[in-house]
Amino acid sequence: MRGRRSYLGSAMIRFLVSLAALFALFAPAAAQTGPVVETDHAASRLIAEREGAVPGETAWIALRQELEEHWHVYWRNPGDSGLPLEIDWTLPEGFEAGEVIYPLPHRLPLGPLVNYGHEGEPVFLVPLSVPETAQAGETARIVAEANWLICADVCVPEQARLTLDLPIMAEEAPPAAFAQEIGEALAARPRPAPFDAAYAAAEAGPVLRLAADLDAPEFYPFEPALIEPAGRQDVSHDEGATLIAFDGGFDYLDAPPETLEGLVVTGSGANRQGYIVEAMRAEEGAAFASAPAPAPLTAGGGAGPAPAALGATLLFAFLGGLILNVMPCVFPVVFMKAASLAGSAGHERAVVRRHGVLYTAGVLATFLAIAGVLIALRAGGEQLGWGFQLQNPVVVGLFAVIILLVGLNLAGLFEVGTSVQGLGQGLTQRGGNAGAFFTGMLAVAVAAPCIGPFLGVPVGYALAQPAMIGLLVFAVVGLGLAAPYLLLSIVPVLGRLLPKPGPWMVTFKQLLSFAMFGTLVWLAWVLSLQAGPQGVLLLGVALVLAAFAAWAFGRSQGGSRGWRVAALAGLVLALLPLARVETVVPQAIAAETDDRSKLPTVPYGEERLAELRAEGVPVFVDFTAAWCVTCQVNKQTVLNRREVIDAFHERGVRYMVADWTVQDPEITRALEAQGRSGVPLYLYYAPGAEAARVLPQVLSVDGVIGLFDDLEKTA
Amino acid sequence: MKTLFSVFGAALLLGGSALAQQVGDPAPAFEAETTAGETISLSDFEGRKVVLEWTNAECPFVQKHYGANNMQSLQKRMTADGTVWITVNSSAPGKQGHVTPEDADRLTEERGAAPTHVVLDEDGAIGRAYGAKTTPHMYVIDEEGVLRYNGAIDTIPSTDQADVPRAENYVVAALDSLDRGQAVVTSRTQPYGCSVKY
Repeated sequence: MRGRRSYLGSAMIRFLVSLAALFALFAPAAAQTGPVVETDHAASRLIAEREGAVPGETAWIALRQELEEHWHVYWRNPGDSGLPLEIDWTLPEGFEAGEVIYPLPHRLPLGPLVNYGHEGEPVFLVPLSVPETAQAGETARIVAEANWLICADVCVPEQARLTLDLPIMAEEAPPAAFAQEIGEALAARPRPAPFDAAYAAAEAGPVLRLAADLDAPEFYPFEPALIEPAGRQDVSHDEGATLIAFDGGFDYLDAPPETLEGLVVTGSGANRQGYIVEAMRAEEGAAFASAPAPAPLTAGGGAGPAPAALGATLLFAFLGGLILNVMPCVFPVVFMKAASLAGSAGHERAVVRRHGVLYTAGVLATFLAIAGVLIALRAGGEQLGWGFQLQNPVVVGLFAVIILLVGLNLAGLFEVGTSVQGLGQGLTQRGGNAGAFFTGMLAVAVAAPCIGPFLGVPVGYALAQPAMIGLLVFAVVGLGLAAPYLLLSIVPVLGRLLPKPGPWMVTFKQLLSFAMFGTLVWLAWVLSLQAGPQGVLLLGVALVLAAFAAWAFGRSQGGSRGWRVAALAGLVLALLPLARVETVVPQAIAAETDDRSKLPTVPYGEERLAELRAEGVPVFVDFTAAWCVTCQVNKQTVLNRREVIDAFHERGVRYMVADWTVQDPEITRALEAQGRSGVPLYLYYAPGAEAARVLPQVLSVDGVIGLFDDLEKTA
Repeated sequence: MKTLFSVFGAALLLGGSALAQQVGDPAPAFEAETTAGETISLSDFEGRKVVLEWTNAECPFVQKHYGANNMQSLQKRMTADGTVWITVNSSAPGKQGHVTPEDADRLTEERGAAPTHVVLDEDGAIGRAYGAKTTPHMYVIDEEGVLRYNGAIDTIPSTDQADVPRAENYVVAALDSLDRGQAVVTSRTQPYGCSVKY
């Protein structure tokens, strides 16, 4: 499968994918991808970000390789031995290929030597500039004669003639099949260091001083002979700065250079980040003493909230969980709970109580399971935050199928947990128990991904703490979420508020099915943004098959076994197209600042944000996601209001959108820099302000406009 | 700020052992048995220039220079002038390029090579003393036993034989300068090739 990610249930997804491949129900979309050229130890191809290129613009293409296990290719500076990739381009007239942007290198020790290189599936990005004179409708043939040295303990030079046919289009083309790989490579490409760097020329070698507290820094010089690849990289920390001492290479020993240029790589796994540094040579150690204070590591920096004490955090976690019940996010589940309340209205107190406890158990179990998986994935280096399950279109599709089945159940197409003997008696006790637990699970899985009031800090805190404390915080949020229902069901006085059972219940349940179908529309919309038209088509097929399964299951409750087999087959078949749903990189948000009928929008980028702030332009940053209903409600009821849009234009405030609908490590990092791990998050950078002002999760028109005014007065 | 300064000062003073062999210093002495069973030591060659060539017959970079007959011509040209050419193989037993003395001599014959001596440095002692990193990696030592060149064989790092005539050979340039009694202009370069299989 192309979108290689370790998500929740990836093993199951892989299984389903192979099943789906077996059935080959749907041919993969034709895409702008060159043919694979297999050499002895690598499979190489040219890929494009989009299905076409626009005249006068720069298109991103890349050489993507799948290397044999334990074999590596080399970074631009290969270290002690080896050779970097070389590409000789043959391009149509006027086209130009820019310099190769290498993936972040790794140190590859080999006996007493160290090389710098890449293993696995490196993506070498290349910006391709398309001339104005290119004609839409034509196809540009891109040819690359690529040479590389690939080594395990032995080395083999390999070469391939790679081609890519890129249609020229008048307007931006939709993302191509490998858009995700290119998107990830673009997100992971090194950026200018947001901290100061200098180096001191000690006799044995350079000592690099980086004005930031860096986690597990490695340094990769651009030039080969300035430091010994296999020599020391002695890291020490000092008052927020990081010092790294090296053994000098022969060019250094001959004459230390004016600047030491290279890549500082921090973090590990998917959290690795490369920063380009140009460290000027400081004459003496004293020069460092006057270096400016350490800069925050992310441009979005600002003062993150101080880690709250555990007690206060737990209080907020509970309050936040409680308030989650009235957040737009949780609306779908409010309906489900109403249905199950109605369902339990006719039962004895003991049964109602048991359902309340089981619902709570479902909420807690799911909260803990999702949080546990999240914490484990993060420990494994994945850059994920709260709500990550809805960043995967396959999971969104699964939820959509479940919601459809719940809707059809409420509508009366089939009953759950009703044995033949119990037919006609409504929900049996057994079915009610499972139903209550299931409702709790669904409440959390579908509806809790967005962050409500009070929850931003606790969730951010939980993910920054040891696993046990993190899980405790999430459990308390769950307890808060389940509290109202739990109270209703276990406190007898409150229980009397429940309406008396009667024939109205059937009508009520059927009405509620429409709330489920509404939720289904929302999930289909989310999936359309994550997986495009192809994804929606696959979801549609899955829904039809699931509906068939539900209908057949309903028929089987009349007695025939054959219907039951048909129902099972329908359900299994419904999963097959779902498993083929793949993430496509969303359409980049177009910068749109002149149209006064819209918000002056710019897409999120750390560098862009730093530039705007440096220019003294006020910036409003909207961290959002399609699956975050609270975000959508805020957008429709506040941000897209006429007076708000006018206020943005009048005050010259830029509206910067950080869309987290699909996984995006850059945005995850920016959220974490604010001590958060979920959306919505609204930040406002006043002109010249040191740090961002954090807005509440539920916006108001006055609040937003007043914000610009407030800061104007104090400025 | 004071602590910052002192920590940094301390880092400045921390010396590291220089891994790279310094040009201008006496070349590390060694004693070794050749494939012909003769015991040689560097001091035997005082008064003559010495070229050290690190090799591994299975390495594509070495194959480039032997395949283009480049290494053999250099060996013949240099040894004709009285220079001592020692081919060193530091591949450890079991690693790529490791050979028996018989195999080494057969390789020399098959390829029409003309080194003065071939040394099998199985334990890598000579390679480590010189800081040999790649195959090929070339060293030039003058009549007084001082290291004068350390680095690549030529200017074009590749495995393509067609690059040989286009490249400038550093070893030839170094020996020419020494013959004219001049200092070696390019005395230290980044060697290119396969890693030495220690």
